[in-house]
Amino acid sequence: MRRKRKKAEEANEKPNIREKISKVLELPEEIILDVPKLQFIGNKDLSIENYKGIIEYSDEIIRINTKTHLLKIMGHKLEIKTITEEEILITGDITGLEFIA
Amino acid sequence: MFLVNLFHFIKGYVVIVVEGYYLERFINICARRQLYLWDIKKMNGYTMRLKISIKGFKRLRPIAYKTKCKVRILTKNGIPFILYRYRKRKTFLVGIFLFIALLWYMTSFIWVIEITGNENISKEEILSNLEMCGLKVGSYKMGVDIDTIQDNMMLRLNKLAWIGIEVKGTKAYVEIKERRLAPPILERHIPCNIVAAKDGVIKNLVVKSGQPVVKEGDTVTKGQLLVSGVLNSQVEGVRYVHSMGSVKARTWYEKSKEFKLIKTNRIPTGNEMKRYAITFLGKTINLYINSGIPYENYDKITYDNELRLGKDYIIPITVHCEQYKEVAVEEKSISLEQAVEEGTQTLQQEFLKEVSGEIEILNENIEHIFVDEQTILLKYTVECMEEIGIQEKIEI
Repeated sequence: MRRKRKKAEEANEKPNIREKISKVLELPEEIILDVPKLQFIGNKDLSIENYKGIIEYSDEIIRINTKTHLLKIMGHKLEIKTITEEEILITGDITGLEFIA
Repeated sequence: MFLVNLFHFIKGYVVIVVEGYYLERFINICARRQLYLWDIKKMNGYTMRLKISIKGFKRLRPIAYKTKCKVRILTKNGIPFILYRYRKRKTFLVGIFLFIALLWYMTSFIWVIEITGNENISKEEILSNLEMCGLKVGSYKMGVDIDTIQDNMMLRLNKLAWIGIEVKGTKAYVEIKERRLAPPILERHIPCNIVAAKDGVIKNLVVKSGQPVVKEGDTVTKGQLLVSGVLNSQVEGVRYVHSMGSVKARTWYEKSKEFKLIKTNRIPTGNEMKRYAITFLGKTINLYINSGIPYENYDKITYDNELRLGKDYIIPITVHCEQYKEVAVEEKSISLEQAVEEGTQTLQQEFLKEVSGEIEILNENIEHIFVDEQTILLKYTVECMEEIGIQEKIEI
């Protein structure tokens, strides 16, 4: 019982403790915190790890759902180069990126 | 990226067009079910084009049904499809294997022998000796035992200091180091004379043993006795000794040659033609019909291209290319000084090539005479100081 309660407590304070753990153990934050990892190469390539799904996809706007935010990628001639369960790679002329909570 | 594309090509993929209103969902489901999609391009609001592996395509149907999308194949790419297309063409397959087998067969022989490092031993001599040892153009690679050949070559050619044979592909690299042969030396106990090797005037005479018969300042001719190994004294009678010593003499050399006061320049006009021929197993096939060359003056450049795979695999088919470049011949007269200068240089170089051993040049002289208006005769005389004594065995 006690253990269960403890787990529940942990769940309540999830962001805090997890953040602390990742800081103390120097683990990559995106794994512990379940936030997306974005990697730009110039404005031509964007890889997003740890995403949940695509919401909208067109030449100009791509919206991607992640655990914490909704990403809105704007640009021209956008194209999904590859897509796997873990990673999505977008190419094209990216002009903007917006985090929508 | 090239490697990835190559991988896809080998595995095979299809380009498909998906039509429907829930394309994002379609992609999401594919990603979740671990179907790898790439190059997804949105054509318009309700169609997109994408690439998917063959395996993935087979699992696409339920997803398409679920998202109410229509899937249409645009093209099929990759090796599996090519193989499928040619599955009934047995001769084609046989041809491929024959080709590979022929290539394999052809490359299991030595087609080229490259010799490096030889200075005095001629290439032909080395090649003929190699052939007798079992390495020649056309010998089977597996049958060549390099170690024994190297040993036999060392035994056969006295002038070799070292030989290294390396077979790479269809090429045999033969590397040679020549032995510097020691001059023949007479044993100390064999009696001998010292005679002159060349004409000259004796400048310096140092005799360690033997009886000198000439003195400094004497003019000697080739073959003349300089130091005698026969000692005749009244006390001991006739004695034979091994003469030793150094005889330095002034010697003269003369070279002459005619030179023209006209220099011809060959200026390419830019016109050129090429002719090709193919050699296979010693037979030449010309790839041209008429053999005439339309130029009056031309330079001919010949290239031989061996067909090869990579650097070392040579296939015994040679493509000859003869290139004819038209030139305009232009004659220009040069001044006497220039002709003399250039002529002197060529004569000097020729002279230095001819003489061997230690030689000290004391004096050089150049003269010219007119043969006719356009030709001069250059006479180049050199005065040298060199060792002229050589030992000669006394036959008793």
